[in-house]
Amino acid sequence: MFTQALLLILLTTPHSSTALEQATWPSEKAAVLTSQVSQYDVVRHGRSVKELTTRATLALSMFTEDPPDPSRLERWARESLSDDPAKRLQLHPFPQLHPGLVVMYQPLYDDLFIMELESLHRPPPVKLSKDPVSPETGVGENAAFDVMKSTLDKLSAKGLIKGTHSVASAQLGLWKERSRAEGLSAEWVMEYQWTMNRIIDGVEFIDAGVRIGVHHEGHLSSLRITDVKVSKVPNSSLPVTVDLPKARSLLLGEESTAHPKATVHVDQERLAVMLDPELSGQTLTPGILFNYSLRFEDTAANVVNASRQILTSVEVTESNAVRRVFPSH
Amino acid sequence: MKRHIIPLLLLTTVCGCPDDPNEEPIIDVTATATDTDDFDPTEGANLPPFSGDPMTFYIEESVNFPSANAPVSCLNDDVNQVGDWAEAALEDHGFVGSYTLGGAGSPINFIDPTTVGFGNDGNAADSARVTIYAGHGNSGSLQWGSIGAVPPGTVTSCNLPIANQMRLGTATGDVSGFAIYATSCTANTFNNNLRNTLGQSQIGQQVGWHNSPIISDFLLGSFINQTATSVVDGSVSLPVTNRTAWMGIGQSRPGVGKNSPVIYTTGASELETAERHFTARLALGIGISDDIPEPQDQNADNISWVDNGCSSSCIFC
Repeated sequence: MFTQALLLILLTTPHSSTALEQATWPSEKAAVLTSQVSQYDVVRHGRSVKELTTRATLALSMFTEDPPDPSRLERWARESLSDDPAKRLQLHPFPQLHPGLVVMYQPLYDDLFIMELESLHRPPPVKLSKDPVSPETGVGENAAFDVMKSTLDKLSAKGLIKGTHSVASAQLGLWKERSRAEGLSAEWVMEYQWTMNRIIDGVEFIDAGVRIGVHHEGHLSSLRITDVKVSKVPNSSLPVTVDLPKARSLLLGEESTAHPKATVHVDQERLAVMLDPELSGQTLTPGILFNYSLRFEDTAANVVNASRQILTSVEVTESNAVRRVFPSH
Repeated sequence: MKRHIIPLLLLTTVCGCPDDPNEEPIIDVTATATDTDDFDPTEGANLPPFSGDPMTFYIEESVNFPSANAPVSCLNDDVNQVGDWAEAALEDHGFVGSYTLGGAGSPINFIDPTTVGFGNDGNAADSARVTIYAGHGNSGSLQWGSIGAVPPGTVTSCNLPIANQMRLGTATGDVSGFAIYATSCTANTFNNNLRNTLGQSQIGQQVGWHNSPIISDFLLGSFINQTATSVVDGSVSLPVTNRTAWMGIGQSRPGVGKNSPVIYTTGASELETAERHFTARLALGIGISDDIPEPQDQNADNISWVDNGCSSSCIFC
């Protein structure tokens, strides 16, 4: 009901042209390449100990050929699924497999996270210098990208990720290190990280994603996988009625109503669906998902302060519903 | 030209190796501070012990912000609460301290009286070894949702300019050794922001974000818990340090956001700085249980961060 009420407000409250002029948008724009979209039932996994140990064994096999000790793995799974957050939210070691392997599982989001700490502790042999720093100290981005693609194929073959993930649209993050002393400095890339989400019918599923970390020496050094169960609602084909400019306008309309003194700064916009973080399942209609922050500025008081990043989706169907998904800091 | 080699790190110093090589290795999953008596938390730096109690914390958090009818310095949107999980995690690992939520907090609690006469950090943010602020912020600033209950004529803005007014770990108070800023952009790495703002404090390590992050309810608590994890296989021990934990959990789930976590370490020398950067473990008190000498070397620091891009709302982006 809240969404419907909000929709009515949006359609009757025009935003100022100033808000549109001051907003900033990403260089890569979301594309709605289809005239029809379907609705999807998206449901979170509730994995059993057995399911989790099977999944973790497969994920650990990405790092080492040796199988984990079954009793150790079962203990880890039970602790990860326990109600005690002190156990659930902690990295767990598997030293008999590899001295640096640690694993964490967050059941709420089916979030499996593995790091290989031994190489991530190890700095490359760079020297402090007055010369310009060179982040490419290892195999380089191109070779690391090939390792990522190979890893993605293996994850798919093992059934750890399902469906299609677009390598071409993968987001690259760089884990950088910087050291400074006596006016000299060094900077290097510790790990290349590529992030992707599952794509079905051109729609990104934000709750099913993968981040692959490739060490600067050229091997897999971290892995993070989330997943949800997705099924298409039968006979749910809906016509697309919202294009990107209109979705942007609706976003600005909402923010100019809620925060009339803020400007909107969009980092990312995608055709996507995302579960409400508080819910275990929903029937979702695809929308333009905006990842953005707000800026409140008082030039007279020299205060340029307070930004935050949230996700808001504007459904691309004729309902045009605006749904704030994830307000945060 | 004088050349410096980055100090090699000793990765075996936090080792619970069994005496008998045939003995079953001990897998220490939930090590607590009391398990570390035989460790050398100075990691060879030979620093004198901290004269106070290192296992103390001060957390302040703002979750409600006005959207209108208030000074612009106070305007923002409400945020989710993250300090309660941090408090619980610290207490699980033997820390004691205070947690101030909402209107009971104020920028005055992070202002050092040597910079502005009415500052109160000696009784608040700089009275405990671990300092956490959660709310909103920007490059070089922290933001509260209200000025708080302060004496008339003192604080008039919800915005705290860090460079001018915050001096953790030095001057009045002089206790803080580690800080977390669960805010947007406060640890922005551009334009020498870290050195010019957070670097004005004299503490060992500070963590935050380069951009405007999505911070889940349990992120800070998870970070703290992770730094207690020990990896022991009988011959090599690899700890989960503040650095590796923050680079991992400081990011959002794949695709949800593009968090750029930052960990910034300073010290009186490059050796002290590098050792702390690569070995400090918050939950076990390692890195904060020793003295943090002053003055710190303004030309020595270590930064680890994941560059997932900046946010246009950050001042320097």
